[in-house]
Amino acid sequence: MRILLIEDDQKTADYILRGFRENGNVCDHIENGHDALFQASRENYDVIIADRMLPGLDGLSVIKALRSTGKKTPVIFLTSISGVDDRVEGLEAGGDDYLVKPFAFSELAARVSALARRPVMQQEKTVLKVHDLELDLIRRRASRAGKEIELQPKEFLLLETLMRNEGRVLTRTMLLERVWDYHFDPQTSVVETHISRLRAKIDKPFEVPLLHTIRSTGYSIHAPD
Amino acid sequence: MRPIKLFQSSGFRIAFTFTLVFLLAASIAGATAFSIIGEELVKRHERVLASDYETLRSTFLAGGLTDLSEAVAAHAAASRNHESVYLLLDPGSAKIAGNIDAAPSVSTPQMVPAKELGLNADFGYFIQRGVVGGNALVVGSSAEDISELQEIFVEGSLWAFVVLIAISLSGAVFLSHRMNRRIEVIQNTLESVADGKFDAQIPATGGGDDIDRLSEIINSTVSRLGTSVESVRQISNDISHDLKTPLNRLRIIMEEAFEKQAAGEPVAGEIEEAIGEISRIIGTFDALLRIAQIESGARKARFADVDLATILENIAEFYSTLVEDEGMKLEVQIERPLIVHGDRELLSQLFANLIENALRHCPGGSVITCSLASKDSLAVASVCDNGPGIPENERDNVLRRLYRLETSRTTPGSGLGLSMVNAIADLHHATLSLEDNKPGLCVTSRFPLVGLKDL
Repeated sequence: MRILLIEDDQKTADYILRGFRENGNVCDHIENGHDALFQASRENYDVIIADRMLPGLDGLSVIKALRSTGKKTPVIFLTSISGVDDRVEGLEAGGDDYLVKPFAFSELAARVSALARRPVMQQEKTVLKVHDLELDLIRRRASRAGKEIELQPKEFLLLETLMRNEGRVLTRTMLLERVWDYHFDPQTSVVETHISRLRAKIDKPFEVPLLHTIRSTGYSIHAPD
Repeated sequence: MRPIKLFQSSGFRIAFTFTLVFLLAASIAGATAFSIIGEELVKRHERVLASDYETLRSTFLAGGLTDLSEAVAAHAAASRNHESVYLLLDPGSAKIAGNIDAAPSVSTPQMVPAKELGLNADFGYFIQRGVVGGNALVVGSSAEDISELQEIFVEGSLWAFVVLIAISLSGAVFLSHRMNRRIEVIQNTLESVADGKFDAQIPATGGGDDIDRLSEIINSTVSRLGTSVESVRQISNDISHDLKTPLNRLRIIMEEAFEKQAAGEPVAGEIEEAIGEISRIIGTFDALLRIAQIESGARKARFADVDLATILENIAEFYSTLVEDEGMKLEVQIERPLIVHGDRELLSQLFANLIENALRHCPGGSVITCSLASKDSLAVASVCDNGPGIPENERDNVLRRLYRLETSRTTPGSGLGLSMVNAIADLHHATLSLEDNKPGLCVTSRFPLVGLKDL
């Protein structure tokens, strides 16, 4: 994956770059807004990670300008501005996702990988399949090994979100945003309880577990190796 | 205190300006009256002259020049102190009879100075001159009454003006002093406010005038300012106090890790613990920032009509699994739809915080009830539990940032959940009340309803 990181804080940048490079990604790093705009519009990246506060041109303006040139590279904003409105501003400027500093690298990695393959995800599939688990989006039906599974509407949406991102990690906050459209941070393990309900229906009665907990990061659904 | 100079005092300026305007008005009125009276007097003189002249002319028509000259002489003799003047001249301009010796030739009745009639007086005469049988006949009357009237009027007006100015000036001085005293009181009060005494208040005079109203506004502004200054002071105290504890814990963890590392033991556990501690500190900061941002009101720009019933129902559904897992029961009684003007995200967070609060403080087996109903054009939303509740004297305190009951010091939570609920309710013009659920706590928010249009 080719990633452009626009970040002026050296310490943060090193941390992010090391993380992505260790996972075999190619990362370019730019420290100011003007150079970043030039670089981003000239090259084709899979994902752009942009800090909002930058010397020269701020991150919001860089992405606005980039979008006006027609570039559709997915952008995730990274910022210490954690206000309730700033997320909306970021998305309105053309950002695709938003992550507040300080963050865990695993959270950023999960979001970046979700963004990078979004176009594939958006292909119209009417039946999602993971191993012997099937989700029929038209008939709103779930089944595993031919056995029908009763799901509540939110459970269905949760499973659909996980299956659309098969093999990728979705963090607690990503699930909160995508399934429930909540952007605040519950202080309780409420997401975990929904996962365990889902797990009880799709995994418990069967031999092979598909829904995996990735420690201190999130959840992932995938077929056994 | 800087004394207010007389001319700088608004009371004096107003009174002074008013005096000037009043004097101007009085002058215009006086001048008008004066000119009307003057004109009337002139008309009267003219009428008298015309009738005198006619009488004399008729004697000529009846008895010729001899009679006329006798009549003129008789009239002249009857006139004392030249009140009226008469003169009859023959065609050669020689005097035949009369009490004056000369008269200017005027074609219409008009006023001439006494000098032109050969008289020594400081007032003028109205004269009428005509020709009777080739002889010039002049009759005139003194305008002394008009002059006298003028003199009386001018003198009277002058005195009136002097008295008027004296009274208004002393009124102005009195008013300005009275006003200055009240302004000084306001100045003194505001100076003590500037010195940090926010309990200073301007005493009301009870008259209910504009200065009283101004004082009331100043008083309420100062007291509100005092409240917010006090709350800012309280918050910074609380924050520093609240953050010291986890920072100190962090320091201890790091020191322990340092020692362990020196002894060659693994330190992964300490590092994980430290990261957890830091996350809590960051969480506290995030919540504080979020509350501050909610309180700033900027979020209002994104308000829309939202269905409170759907929001509460979704949140209740979201938490239902967790509530069950905790061995509690969640009951939902919702009347719908109830449309309010607000922010879906923030309202969701309000209910989420209340449910999480109940989850955190109630023992297993408790019942959490979410209810929503309309009452008196308000949407009344309650989250109630039958847990330990909050003592009555603590109910206001728990809305304060970072405030935690002694009994819940050890339970997780930042002490910001209810402050955020309070800030969100405030932003939506909702009133928040904490009530006794006997047993347990009932948090009720009352939102103004939007009319049920388009539904």
